[in-house]
Amino acid sequence: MSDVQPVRRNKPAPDSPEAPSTGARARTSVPPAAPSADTQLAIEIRSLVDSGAMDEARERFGELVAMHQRRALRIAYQYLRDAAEADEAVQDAFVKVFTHIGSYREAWPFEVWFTRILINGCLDRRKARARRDRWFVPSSDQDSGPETARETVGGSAPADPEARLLARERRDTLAAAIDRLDGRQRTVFMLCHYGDASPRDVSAMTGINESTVRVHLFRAVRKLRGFLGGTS
Amino acid sequence: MFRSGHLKDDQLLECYYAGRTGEALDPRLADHLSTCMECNEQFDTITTFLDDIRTDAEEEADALFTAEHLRTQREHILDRLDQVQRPARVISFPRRDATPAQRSGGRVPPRWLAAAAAAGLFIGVAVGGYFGPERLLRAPGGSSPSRQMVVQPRPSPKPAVLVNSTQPTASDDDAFLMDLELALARPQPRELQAFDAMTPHVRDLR
Repeated sequence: MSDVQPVRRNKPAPDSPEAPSTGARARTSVPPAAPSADTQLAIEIRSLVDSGAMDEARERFGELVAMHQRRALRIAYQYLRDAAEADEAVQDAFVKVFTHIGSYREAWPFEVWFTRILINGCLDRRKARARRDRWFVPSSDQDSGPETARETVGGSAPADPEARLLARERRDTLAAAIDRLDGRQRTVFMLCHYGDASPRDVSAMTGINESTVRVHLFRAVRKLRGFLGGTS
Repeated sequence: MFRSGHLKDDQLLECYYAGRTGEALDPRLADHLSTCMECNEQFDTITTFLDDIRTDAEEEADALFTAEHLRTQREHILDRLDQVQRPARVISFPRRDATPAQRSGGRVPPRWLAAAAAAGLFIGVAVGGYFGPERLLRAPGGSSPSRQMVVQPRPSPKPAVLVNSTQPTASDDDAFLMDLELALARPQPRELQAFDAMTPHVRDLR
């Protein structure tokens, strides 16, 4: 947690011509704000790449990676439930961002653009995994559960076996409940809840109407409360 | 806006996410939430539920992706970017600026080479005709072991199925067909039934 740098959001005014037409308006108008630190950095990297200063651009990109890395891993892990695959998905997303930095437009925060690339990659990986699962029978020694992934990555687990078991059960239940959500509801919930994105951001990331995002979010939470036994 | 004087669940949810993301909240919702005890309790329930989910997920991810892992991943990303930036190595093709005369002069073998090859071929054919396989087979017993290895025909491997060289008799046919019938009468595994259906049966051919 120590290396997570807060990313201040910059949102264009809803009436700005640069804002994507989501078909919905924010309830309260937000004045045009100065670009956030990450957006400024992305613009700077873009100009460095344009001018051919690749080494410096790469160096600055490392700072950008540090800003978004943990959040990206959380989102990717919640999508994929596999640490190694989440790691690859995040790496791929960052590499794609750098190679396409020339097409970044500062009309929307860098965070929105990056998250959109990330979730598209995660969704592709989920589809590929579903295809694999249809055609291949997993061998008995393969277990791609979170516990195996934990060992692969080398993370630390709680020392108390009982606490570890309970935590694992709780997380498995939650993961199963999230997996039972419809595709859009799952995406909206994950981005809002784990990705700290507002419905407006999610609308920009996914291309779904903002009011529809709110409806999906509400339905997702209601379903989750039903699945997990929370009071409704 | 309010149902029975209280906030609905989706409005409470909006309050929750507005607080989280720093979005501006509808003042009417905020006012009601600050004054209505019942809505406040409901809001607390939702907040606790969602915060627990979030905390749990964050703890899980943070346990998996430690600071060391993040550093390693960052290095991997930068290494990959380095590879992306590096232009692909192009293997140079042979130069094409040489004149045709130079190319032909360097490539055409001299005439003596053709003559030597023809002579070698002639000698080889002549020696092969003189010491042909028949002559080598008729070689005396004192020949060298290496020659024996070359000349002596290898014993043919034993056939996997012994086939009687004589004409098949009627009793053999009967035994064969009986075996077939026995095999057909046996219970067949389900996995082979599809193949069985595609294969012509002996009983149909008879």
